Amino acid sequence: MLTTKVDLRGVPCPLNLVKVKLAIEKTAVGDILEIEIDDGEPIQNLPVSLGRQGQEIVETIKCQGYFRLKVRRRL
Amino acid sequence: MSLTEEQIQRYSRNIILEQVGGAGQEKLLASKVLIVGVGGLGSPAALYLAAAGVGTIGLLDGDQVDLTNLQRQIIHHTADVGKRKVVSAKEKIEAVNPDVAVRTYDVWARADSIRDIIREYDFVIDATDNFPAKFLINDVCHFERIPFSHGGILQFEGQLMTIIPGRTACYRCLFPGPPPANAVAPCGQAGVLGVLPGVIGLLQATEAIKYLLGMGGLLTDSLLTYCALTMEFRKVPAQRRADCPLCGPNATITTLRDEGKVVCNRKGCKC
Ligand SMILES: [Zn+2]
Repeated sequence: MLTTKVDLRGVPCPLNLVKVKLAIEKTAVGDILEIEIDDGEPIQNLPVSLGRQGQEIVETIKCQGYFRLKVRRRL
Repeated sequence: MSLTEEQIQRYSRNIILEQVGGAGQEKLLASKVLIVGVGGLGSPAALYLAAAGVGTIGLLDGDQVDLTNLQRQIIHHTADVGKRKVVSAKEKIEAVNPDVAVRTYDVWARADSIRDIIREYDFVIDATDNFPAKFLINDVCHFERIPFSHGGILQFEGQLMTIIPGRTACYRCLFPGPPPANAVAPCGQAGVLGVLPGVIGLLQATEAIKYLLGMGGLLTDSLLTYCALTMEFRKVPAQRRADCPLCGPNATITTLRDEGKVVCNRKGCKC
């Protein structure tokens, strides 16, 4: 299983979602994508949007001023 | 091919759509669409396909911009009067989106010239304003197996249909040949509500994008008609006819030919 990482700190909504989507397209189904996103709007919006797309949030880690999400590509 | 940072931002509203995504956008950028006729229908189609990031757009029109065009042919501006239409349109497309490669053909749609051009494209938009050209495009696309969108307008009414040659009803399945030359007034004499070609041309562009991305259902085997006065859209079922002179089993049209006079090629025609 592969884990790809994308740093989206400083990338505002909704561009961060566009970039996550592009990264997910490059991730094989079943693999994990690790993304780093800002506190505030991004952490409020992104997990919801990813869930709506049918992706699975495996883990949410709170770091200093940002969050690290592990997303498993489901479809 | 991979999208640049600028492209990711420019096409973000496409990419975010589940049915498009980055792969779909890359597909659009690699696609080639030919627009035959850069007038009322071709103007909005060209502008939106350019904005959407269709990578190669061919423009075919042998006319020049006339003041009477500006009421509906929105790709041409007042300062363009007298300019070749393909040149005027190319300038606007490049201003809208430098990602698009524009190929121009400053010629009329004729049997001897158009086949080699159409062959180069993935999809064709028939945005012409006369029957001989419409039948010619239908026939060439049939022989070359290139999908296309037929569109037509007059006064307050428009229609369109998408044709996948060899698989769905062709234009001649509905109309075997052009009406008699004096049965239909050219649009210069009949008039056309300026917004009408905008509606129809954009529906044609929508079909082009859907075809290129393989998403949704195409307007095949049905003719969509629109009346601006009543705001009624009607989908008229159509089907391949066994006696179609072009795509039927006993086809009589086996080579390319021009149908009658190309009406709008007349000197002074402001169609
Ligand atoms: Zn037919």
